[in-house]
Amino acid sequence: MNTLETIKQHAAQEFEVKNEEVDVDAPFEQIGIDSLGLVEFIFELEDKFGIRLDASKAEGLKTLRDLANHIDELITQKATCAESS
Amino acid sequence: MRRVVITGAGIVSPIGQDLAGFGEAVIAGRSGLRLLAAMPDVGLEPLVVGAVDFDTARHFSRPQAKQLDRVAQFSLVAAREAVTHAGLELTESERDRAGIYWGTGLGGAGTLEEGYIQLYREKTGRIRPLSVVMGMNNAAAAQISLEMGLRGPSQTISNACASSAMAIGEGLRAIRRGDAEVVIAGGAEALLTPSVMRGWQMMGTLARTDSTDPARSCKPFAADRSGLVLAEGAVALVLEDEERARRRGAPILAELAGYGSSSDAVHLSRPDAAGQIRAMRAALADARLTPTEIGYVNAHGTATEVGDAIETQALHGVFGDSVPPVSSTKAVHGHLMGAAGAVEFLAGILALHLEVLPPTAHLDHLDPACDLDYIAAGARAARGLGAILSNSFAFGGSNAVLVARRYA
Repeated sequence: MNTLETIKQHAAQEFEVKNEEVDVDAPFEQIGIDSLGLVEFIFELEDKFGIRLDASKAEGLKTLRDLANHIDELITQKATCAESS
Repeated sequence: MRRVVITGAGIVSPIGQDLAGFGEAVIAGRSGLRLLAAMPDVGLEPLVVGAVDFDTARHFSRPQAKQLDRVAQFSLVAAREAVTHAGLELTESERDRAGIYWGTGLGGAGTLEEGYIQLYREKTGRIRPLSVVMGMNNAAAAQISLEMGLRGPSQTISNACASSAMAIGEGLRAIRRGDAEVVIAGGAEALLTPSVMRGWQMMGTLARTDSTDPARSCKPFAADRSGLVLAEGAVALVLEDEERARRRGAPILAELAGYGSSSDAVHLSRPDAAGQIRAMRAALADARLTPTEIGYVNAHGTATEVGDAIETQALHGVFGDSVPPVSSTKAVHGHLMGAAGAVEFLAGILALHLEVLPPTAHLDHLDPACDLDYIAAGARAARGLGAILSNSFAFGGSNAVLVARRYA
């Protein structure tokens, strides 16, 4: 399963909505994730994917798709670091 | 001076998770206390507690529950019942004059403990970001204000075992002053965490487990009493300006007639009769009642050796040789700490409303140092009961006393 799909499923589970009802391109507020909820949601995804988001970067993320893309970048960076070390 | 009436009540407790269930159990003297098994990995020995079998999913969606410590969950459930019971509907402008006065000793104790587990035991450094807003002592009051749209004054009072009695008393004063017309007042506690329970065990003030029945372990005023039983829960009352309540035809449970408080300034944990007497007298004066007009006292009655004897002395100090019937309902629901004052005042309100005095359960062998009528033989009819008094005496030497009067 790709990152976006994993996040979508996690959001559906945590916010008690059907998977197909999660709009990955809608602003977080629109799908029921407020600022506090987002901080907690990111915290859970960090553990799920084994990465850490920079708080200043997270501020610029507006949708689940933005979040998935950023997490993919971090996963790639982590893999690159692991290979070079 | 404005009069203040109680128009609704809600409760989550070890002996009932609604008003009807609590009322029935407290009058029947049916204990909700039970033995909790040892937790050897953290050094916790077995102990009797008043735990609530709380079904979070029945009351909250998953996203809601994730943002609420157990103490806030109890608080919201109690407040919802109280508001429904009162038939309270607030217009937009009335919300600005509706307040929340809430008491809690340890607030979001479970959330804080979970953070410590991650930090010190799991060593992950991964503390949930919501820990701050879930663990803070005013979180429960904030959640009630948010859900119910209360935009008037908000206060959280943390004065150990006197917290919720003081919150109710301060809510009374807020309405009298004209700061609010409606107040949700009460308190909550959810401190049955391993570190809190272990701390109490180390202090040596908890009840020994009764060898025949753990549910009978809390024995206020008994010669064989051995200490208190930690418990959890919440109580919310709807306090209203009397004129407002009458105008809208609200059901009136009782008048919240008086509140008194004092500090012992004697010792951090040992109670002091003089301080207790000052608080009781202040509450009676505030209610403009004489001692002879009180028909029932819900005692603080924690079932500690020192506490029950000193409270008995203090009651003599206020009422002389004519102390009205007294009971400690802690025998059945345990010591709800920050919520204790509200739970026990509610027992007194129900006594007024139903005209029946709740008993002190498990009192088979009276301590000679406790020489009052403790309603030991079961609930007692009290036709025409006119007024009740409820005592809450806290560690730290803070005393709070509430008085309610039959509404007529």
